[in-house]
Amino acid sequence: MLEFRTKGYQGYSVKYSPFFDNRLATAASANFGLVGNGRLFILSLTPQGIIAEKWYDTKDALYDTTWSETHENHLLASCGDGSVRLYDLAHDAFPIAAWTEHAREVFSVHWNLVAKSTFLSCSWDGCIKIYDPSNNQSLLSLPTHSCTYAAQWSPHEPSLLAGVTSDSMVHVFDVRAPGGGRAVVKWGNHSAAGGMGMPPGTNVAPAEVLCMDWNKYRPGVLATAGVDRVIRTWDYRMPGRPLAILPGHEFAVRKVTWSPHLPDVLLSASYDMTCRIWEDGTRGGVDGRPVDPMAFGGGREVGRMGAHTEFATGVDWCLFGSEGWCASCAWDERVLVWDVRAFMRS
Amino acid sequence: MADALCGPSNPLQNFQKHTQQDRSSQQDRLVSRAGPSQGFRSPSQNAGLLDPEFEAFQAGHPTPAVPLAAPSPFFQQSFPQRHQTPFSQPAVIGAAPDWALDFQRLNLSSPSPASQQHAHQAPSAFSQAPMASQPSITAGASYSSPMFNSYSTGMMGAGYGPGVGMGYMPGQEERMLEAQNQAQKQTPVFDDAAFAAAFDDAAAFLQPQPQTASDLKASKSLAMSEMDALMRSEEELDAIMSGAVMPEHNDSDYATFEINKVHFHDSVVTHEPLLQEESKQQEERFMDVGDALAQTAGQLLDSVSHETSEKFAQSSFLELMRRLRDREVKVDGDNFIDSSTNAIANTTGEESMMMDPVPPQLPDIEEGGPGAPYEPVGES
Amino acid sequence: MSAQQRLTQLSGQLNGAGGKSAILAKNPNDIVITYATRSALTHFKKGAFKDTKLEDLLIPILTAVREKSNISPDLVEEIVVGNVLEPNANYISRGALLAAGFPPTTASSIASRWCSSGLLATQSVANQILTGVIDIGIAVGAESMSQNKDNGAPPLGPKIMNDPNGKDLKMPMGWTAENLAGDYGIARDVQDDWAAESTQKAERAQKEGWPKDEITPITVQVKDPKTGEVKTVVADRDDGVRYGTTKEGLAKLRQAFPQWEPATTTGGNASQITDGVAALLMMTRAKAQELGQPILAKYVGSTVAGLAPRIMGAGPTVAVPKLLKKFGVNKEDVDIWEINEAFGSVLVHCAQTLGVDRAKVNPRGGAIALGHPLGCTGARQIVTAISELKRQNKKIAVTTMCVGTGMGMAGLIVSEQ
Repeated sequence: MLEFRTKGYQGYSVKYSPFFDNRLATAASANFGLVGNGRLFILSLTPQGIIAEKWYDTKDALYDTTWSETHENHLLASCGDGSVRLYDLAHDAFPIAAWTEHAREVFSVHWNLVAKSTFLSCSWDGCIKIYDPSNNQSLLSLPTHSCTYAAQWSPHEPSLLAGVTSDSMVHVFDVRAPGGGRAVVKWGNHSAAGGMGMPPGTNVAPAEVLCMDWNKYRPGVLATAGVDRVIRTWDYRMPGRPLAILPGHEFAVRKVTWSPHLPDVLLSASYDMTCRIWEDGTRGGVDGRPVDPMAFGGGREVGRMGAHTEFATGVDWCLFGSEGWCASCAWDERVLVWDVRAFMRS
Repeated sequence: MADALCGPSNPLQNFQKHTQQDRSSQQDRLVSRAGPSQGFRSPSQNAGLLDPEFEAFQAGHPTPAVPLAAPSPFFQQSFPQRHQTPFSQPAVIGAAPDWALDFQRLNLSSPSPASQQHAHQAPSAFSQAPMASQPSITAGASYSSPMFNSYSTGMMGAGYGPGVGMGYMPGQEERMLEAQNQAQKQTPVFDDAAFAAAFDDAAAFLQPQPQTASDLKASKSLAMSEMDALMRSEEELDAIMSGAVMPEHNDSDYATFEINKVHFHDSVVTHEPLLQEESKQQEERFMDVGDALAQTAGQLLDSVSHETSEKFAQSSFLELMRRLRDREVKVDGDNFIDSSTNAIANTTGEESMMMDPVPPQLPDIEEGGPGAPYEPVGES
Repeated sequence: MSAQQRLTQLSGQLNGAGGKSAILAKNPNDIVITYATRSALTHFKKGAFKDTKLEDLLIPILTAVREKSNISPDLVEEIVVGNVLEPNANYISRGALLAAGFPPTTASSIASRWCSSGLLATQSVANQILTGVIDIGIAVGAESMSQNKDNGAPPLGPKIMNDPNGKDLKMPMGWTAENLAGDYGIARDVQDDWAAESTQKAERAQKEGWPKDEITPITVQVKDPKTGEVKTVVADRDDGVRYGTTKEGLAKLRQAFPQWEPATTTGGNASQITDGVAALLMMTRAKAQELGQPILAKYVGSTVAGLAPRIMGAGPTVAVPKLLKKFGVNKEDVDIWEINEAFGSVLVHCAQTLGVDRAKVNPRGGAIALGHPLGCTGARQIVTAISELKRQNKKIAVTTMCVGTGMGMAGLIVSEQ
């Protein structure tokens, strides 16, 4: 396990570069993101361990970062002051562009993986905004009417995106529609599956949804998680009926991400200070692995990494090299790079 | 079978309860008083006395006459033959002797074990009535009316007097009270000594309840006295507001509260001083209502208070929350500062060795696209 | 964008399911209130209902619910009546619903937990709807303190009396209020200040006509105690409100309970003894939409908590935090606090201990001004909260009351108007 200390700053998000297998970005904030500055760290994995290539300071907290899909030296950071900043590693200290359109903290930022020409941000102000980096104004604002914690472009459809909100909803939008985007569908993250001892249609208590991720292999499938501690997987074409429900975390789940290598594996980070590895049950009984009959959909936790000593907030898979490597960040000021296979249970 | 019958008018069900009920000490005492003394916790000589009758009834056989003692004149008076009562179930249904005759034979002077175990329990109709509504007549009936003592042993403390096996129709209470009052005027046909003994016993059993009718009346009127005092005060307010002059209060109006004081003296005195200490702390804590941050920090700590793991115990974040809650640290501009020194607080609790210098004051960035590389202004 | 807001958000995330957004969310299985009404609150023995029997409060209010809500009466499966003092409340309730035009297929029951009975009735209806055993119910809170005596605690057996808290069950409410004032140092003049404010708020509300959409006028007969003449009156306003009440005026009152230290209670800073009735028509959101019923508010739920009987007045200080935690709601999210003003010490202690914004407490006055018909209050507070949330264009109200014998209950509603 490799470690880097983001001294004085607590980590909020960590992302591998899509271009370099040894480059990571971490968005971090002083005073746990409550008050004070932010810092965007650019990290390199070297034979001597993890070093910081450079960093950028911001006046307010940073909550997320994402690499450009088109330019290997560009990356975005989303800020507590409502701004989204674009950095070029060739330029020190300051962003090369910034957009301050959100009225509140910007919790998430994501680059379009297919079209590659746009990126989105979402905010406490109840909006998801779409930008073209060559434009100094956003292209589109999509309202969710509730604090939006996370939003992501689909890895399959260039015009499709999803966002999750404080009022326990999952929203799917299509930005292709004339005159701007349209809402495709939305549903309650707390919709219960029938057959779990509950009659169909009975909901569990709604809770804030803090994170989401589209499945990289199965179009239409996404995972959500949040304050009710449970990860749910969905197909947005069957809204309101979860495919799998994965309980286990003891506090809210802050980040969930599907494996880039396996269609049924997820990684999560939680306020319970652990990162966990999951199978969603769709592989079912293969390789002699038992399907957990207790979990809806047959999914289960298959591994757990407990090295963080404060709330874990970010986790990302490494795309290259040996499958199974990932990075995590937490409020313990550590970015950890580790192999999930070392933490799998038998 | 009895279970299938619901509703208040189910004397049968309640009769069954009578025969199956707990023979606890109060009944032992009264029973043994009448007959040979068998000790405090002796099994009642009446145990199961009526079971054969009841079983016979259930099986539909005619039942023999129950050797019940002569009734008190009270019952003779107030309950003409048309009323059903659980006491006389077997005899009634068996249809041999008239049930009223059974009551004729109920008599305190030669108390029947059978009658005395018919202690009352709260009938369902009244059990729903809240405690506060139980009028004084019920308790009054159990203490001051000798006629009730043979039946009322079980109702001590229950306060639901009317259910003394009389059926559960509304208005029962009023009729019984009326009848009681009437009966009291008559010459009782009972044994004085037995009455006095039974009454004393009942009263002693219920220490520290009041022991005389007047004490009882006084304590029963506590609630009314409280209301009276408030009403008088309201009248005073009306008078003040209309400019009138109120008459002087008579201190004797408060006499009834003296009893109150005697009974509750202990509970007033013995309450822990600790409570007051804590309450003062709480008071101080909440005097600064504006410090929402401290309160939120406290709430956050409550949310994780069930988590006892070492990681949580050593969490720097939670330590910061504790310091915020306890006002050791507060927010000032862009920093947390130590409340006492006003120095910037170290929120991660670590030695700040090799910390990067405090980030420079960054100017507001200007917006622009990548076509125009941003020209830095100020320090790098 | 402040540290306080960020910390509050974080705290909410750690609190578990719920949260303000979740409370405001609309789901088909939510319990909603589609009609809410109450009678005037009238002064015991002097006011318009002084000669009105409990059934004659229930029948008109249930009739109003049936007629004004347009609900088909045979759809109402259960009416739960909260009441404290009437021993035959079950019979009277059953009879009243029939007389009000509900068919015999509409069941009834009563709910009784002293001053929280009205809220308990509401929770009882909600529980049945939540578990799916009924679809539509009416929660009622009703009390005639003019007709039914409050005799306080009955005799209790030795096992209860030997328990220190058991013995305190017999403590009159006024004494418990003085205990609270003494334990927490709540001075007479502070109580008078809050009491005067309650009355002033009630006065203003009446003058502005705000309670009009709460009150169903009821025509009743009153007998003049001196002449014996019987008159017909329309009870349409809360007649306990004393216009022109000031803190200075209240200060002139003598102590009502000089024998109970610190003797801060007077008839001017304690709840009035009052008659009244209130009712709420409840069903799921899906059912309301199916029937075309307007949704006034969502009933989120309630909590109850116990504490020492001798300071029963602090009940809300244990029930409210439990409520907020259960539903993940922050104090700052609450727009209106209906805190039952059983006594001035109760009002002041609870408002201060809970640390709530005084301006958000009982905006139309509370029981000191309006009165406290014991079984009615829990439902009455909800009727008032619904009307006031609409008027202020706000969302979230918490209703709460202390309960004699040492409990507190608290309820949470969200306006959808």
